[in-house]
Amino acid sequence: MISYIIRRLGGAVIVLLGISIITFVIAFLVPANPARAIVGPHAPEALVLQVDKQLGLDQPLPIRYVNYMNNLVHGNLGMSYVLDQPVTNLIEQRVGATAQLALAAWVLELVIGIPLGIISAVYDRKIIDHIASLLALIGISLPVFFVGLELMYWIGFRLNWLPVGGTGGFNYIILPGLTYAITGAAYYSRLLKASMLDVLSSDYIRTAKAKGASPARVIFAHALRNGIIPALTYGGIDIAALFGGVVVIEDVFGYSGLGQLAVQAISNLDVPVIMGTVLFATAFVVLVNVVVDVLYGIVDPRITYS
Amino acid sequence: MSALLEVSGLTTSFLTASGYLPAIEDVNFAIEKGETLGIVGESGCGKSVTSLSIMQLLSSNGKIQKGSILFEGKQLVGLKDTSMRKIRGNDIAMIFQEPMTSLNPVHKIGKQIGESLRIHRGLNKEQSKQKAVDLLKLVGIPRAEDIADEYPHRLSGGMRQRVMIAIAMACDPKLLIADEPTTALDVTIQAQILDLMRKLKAEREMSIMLITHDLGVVAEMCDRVVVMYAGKVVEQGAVRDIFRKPTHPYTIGLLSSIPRLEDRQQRLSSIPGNVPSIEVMPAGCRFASRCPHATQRCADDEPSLLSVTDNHQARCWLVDEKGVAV
Ligand SMILES: Nc1ncnc2c1ncn2[C@@H]1O[C@H](COP(=O)(O)OP(=O)(O)OP(=O)(O)O)[C@@H](O)[C@H]1O
Ligand code: SF4
Ligand SMILES: [Mg+2]
Repeated sequence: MISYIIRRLGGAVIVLLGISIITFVIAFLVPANPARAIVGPHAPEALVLQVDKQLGLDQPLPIRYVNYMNNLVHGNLGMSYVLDQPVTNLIEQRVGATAQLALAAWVLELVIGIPLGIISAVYDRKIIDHIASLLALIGISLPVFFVGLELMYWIGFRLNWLPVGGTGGFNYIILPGLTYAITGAAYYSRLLKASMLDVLSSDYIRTAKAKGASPARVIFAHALRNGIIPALTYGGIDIAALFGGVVVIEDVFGYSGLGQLAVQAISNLDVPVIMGTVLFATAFVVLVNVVVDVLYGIVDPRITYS
Repeated sequence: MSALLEVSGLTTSFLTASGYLPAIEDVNFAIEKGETLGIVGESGCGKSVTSLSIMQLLSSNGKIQKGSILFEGKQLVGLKDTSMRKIRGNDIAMIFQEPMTSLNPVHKIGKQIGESLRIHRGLNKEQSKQKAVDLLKLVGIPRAEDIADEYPHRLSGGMRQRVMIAIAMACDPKLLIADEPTTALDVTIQAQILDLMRKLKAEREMSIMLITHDLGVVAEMCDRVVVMYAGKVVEQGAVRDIFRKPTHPYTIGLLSSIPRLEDRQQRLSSIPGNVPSIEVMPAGCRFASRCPHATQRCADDEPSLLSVTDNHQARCWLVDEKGVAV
């Protein structure tokens, strides 16, 4: 198992290398000059060239990449072109806020999705299942920004229960978290419903019933641990998607996290910040997937690591 | 005349595209204390539906429409689920045809065996674990302590069926329903499992309802036998009587097709034709399309169970007249 984890982490390094090259190339292939973006459209060409030199943009792309990676392994992600701060500082300042938001979003998603899935499976084709499925369908179909704006309007503005937007304590993450959860929970509930239905009609569930197990025991002690396995896989994918989702949601709610940082960096062609946030997100997603794979083996004893 | 289990007029239907259709109809039989009753018949004739009706474990599209199931004089049909749960795994235990899939893959063997003891006897984790090890020894599993800590996927089919038997024996049931317990196993393992069941039955004075498609197994294991065809009992009696004087042409067909020991795996297939499906049940005798003795009367009217001797009945018009020449 330890050697499995080490091998997986080795794989993760390769993935990161690949992503870094792709991001680097794309960031510099955009037909716009970061130096021009910094100095403004009306600045003289000479100034642009000077800034180019300052930032090392006059060197060929491969050399720039090697320099970047060399700094990276020494823990230096460079300076932001625009914000005049080291990228590591910028990420450090924002990562807590985004982590809180992402965690809240994910937990709310599970809190909504898993019970909905279990209920739909247990009451399959009964009225309560139809209601749950309808809710799930609505959730899946609604665009994130729409749900976000509705929640903002009703809960934030009309009812005045929670802040409409901004960054702060716990209160500020509920609405954005809920926005993500409402639009994403349905994937968990559908997945869980399908796998629970499958499991509930399996032979070992019949065995449990034949022992005299109560319905609650059958569902929670026998079915759920088997039924949750596909949802676990999705959990890994979802956390990757979560980063993308959080970018939009942070934007909608004016929440200053990594997403917002990345969006601003992209519009400013602030390449070091783009690189930094993308690599950070990638490293995180890859790590989560290793964790999920290890969790698999804990939930399902048939899986061995080799 | 107080049988352990008395099934009468049992009719169980399933919801299909054309409404509720009976999978078994008017099934009658009894199991005495300490008796082994065999239920035989081809695939699809309603053996599993009968046993699942007794356990009240039919899938959600099935329901008992008529009849009564008395267990120790207590009516099981219509019994509340909470009361039925006190009987399942406690007074009536069941083992199934598919040992490979009947154990929960994510729970350890010991936990699965101990579960009914926790449910019915209120044992705690340690007590039930200890008892599970004893039960593993009882069913002849070597290294019982180690196996109790294993997950099912580490065990062979034969071992898993032993584990299923250990689960069934946990609460000392009065009735063990075994639905084709050896069909999925290879021949030598089959014999071992049957031996084990015989031994346990002798030690524990339990009754067994043994479902099989193999009359050879019936001859080895059972006191009496019920032969089912297309959802109905077509012949029943003491094993000795039925082997000596099989009366229903279907039973005769089954007897002449007993596979030899080496190929017991094979399903009965030597009677030409197929069991009619529940959607298209013929009006008269359900066996008429495959029966060498069928007459017009057989096609028009369905015979009832007619007495051959006191304890031997067959559902065939031939009984009326003279019995069948074998
Ligand atoms: N869940 C179900 N839904 C619809 N029909 C069913 C269902 N279960 C059983 N049946 C019907 O009942 C009939 C009898 O099935 P049953 O499982 O009792 O056969 P069996 O005698 O146990 O056969 P086998 O030897 O293959 O186990 C089947 O032919 C099928 O038409
Ligand atoms: S009733 Fe007729 S068709 Fe049916 S088994 Fe007897 S002889 Fe054959
Ligand atoms: Mg069956």
